[in-house]
Amino acid sequence: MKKAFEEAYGKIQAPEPLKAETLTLMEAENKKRKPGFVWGCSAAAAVLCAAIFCLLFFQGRGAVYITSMEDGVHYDTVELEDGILYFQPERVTISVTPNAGSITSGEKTDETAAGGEEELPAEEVTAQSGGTLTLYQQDRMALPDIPEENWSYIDGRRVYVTVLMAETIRYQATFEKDGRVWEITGNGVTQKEFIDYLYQNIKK
Amino acid sequence: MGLSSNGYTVIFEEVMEKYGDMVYRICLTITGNPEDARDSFQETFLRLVRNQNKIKNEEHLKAWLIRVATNCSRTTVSSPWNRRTRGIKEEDLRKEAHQPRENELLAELQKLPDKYAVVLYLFYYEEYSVREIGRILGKKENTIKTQLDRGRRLLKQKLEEGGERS
Repeated sequence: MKKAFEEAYGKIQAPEPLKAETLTLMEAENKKRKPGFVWGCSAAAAVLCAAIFCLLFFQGRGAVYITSMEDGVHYDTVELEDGILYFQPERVTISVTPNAGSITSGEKTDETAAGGEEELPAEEVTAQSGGTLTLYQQDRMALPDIPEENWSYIDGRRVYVTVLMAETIRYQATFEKDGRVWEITGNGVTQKEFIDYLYQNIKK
Repeated sequence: MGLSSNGYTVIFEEVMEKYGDMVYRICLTITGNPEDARDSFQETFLRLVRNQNKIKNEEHLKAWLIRVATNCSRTTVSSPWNRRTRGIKEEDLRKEAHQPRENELLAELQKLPDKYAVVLYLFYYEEYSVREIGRILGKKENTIKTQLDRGRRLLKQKLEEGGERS
């Protein structure tokens, strides 16, 4: 099979005019982007200053708070010593997870093993950043058994949100809705894109 | 050219030279025709320009390009315009000699659902492991194993059917 693939794909090359045209478009896009990039850096610096101010302001009063409001979604971040990030009310709590496995639990037949039933996404969308947001329905899975402080609450519903800080940042969330367990994964997406998608799916 | 937050520099010419063919192969595998592959190819590299500061290293760049090329091609294929005109394009393709129809494996691979075609391509041609493909495409390892297994069986079946027809 490997040899057949090498023969089939070895012949395919991107046409040189297409490469040249794309490079021209890339250079043009890059020039267009630069002023925005500079503004972006300035904005990032301003946010950093604000974060340092918040950090100094709240130091000595317990936790460290970084607050932001983006497009009507309110994030309050509390960073604790154990490396877990907590976001408070409406309250999205994101736990740093050590692996990218499923975050649901409960008895389940090994239906995702090779040759078994495939886990089909209910929806898959491409985020603006180029990453993928996927919604799965987990019929035979249950919500995980985790401490109360690790749960998020969105629209009055309990949600467990984790992030894998690997080479590709992977967000995962699981929640129960209409008697079913749902799992959302976000690969290569921004935190905001993931949380916005989570809000959309919980509230719809 | 741009500098990412961790000091990795994306040099457009080098990226194009090194990964242009790979991105084009993925786009062609999913879209099934050179016109759509061309659109997805350009969109992938334009997204790279917009996101160049997020690229951490060479390995991350390659994985990022594979993921974005896959997503862009899927978006192109599922666009309302594309769905409306698919019938016409397939007819055109039969007349055109652009697509390497003489390449039976590729022709049959393009008929498979793209999730199988991409996984087979990454496994057999790019020589990624199941775990690596899972990380790149954002799927669980078991899902990739299943897709690889089904993809292989479907491809074999289609190749056998093709052989019987001829």
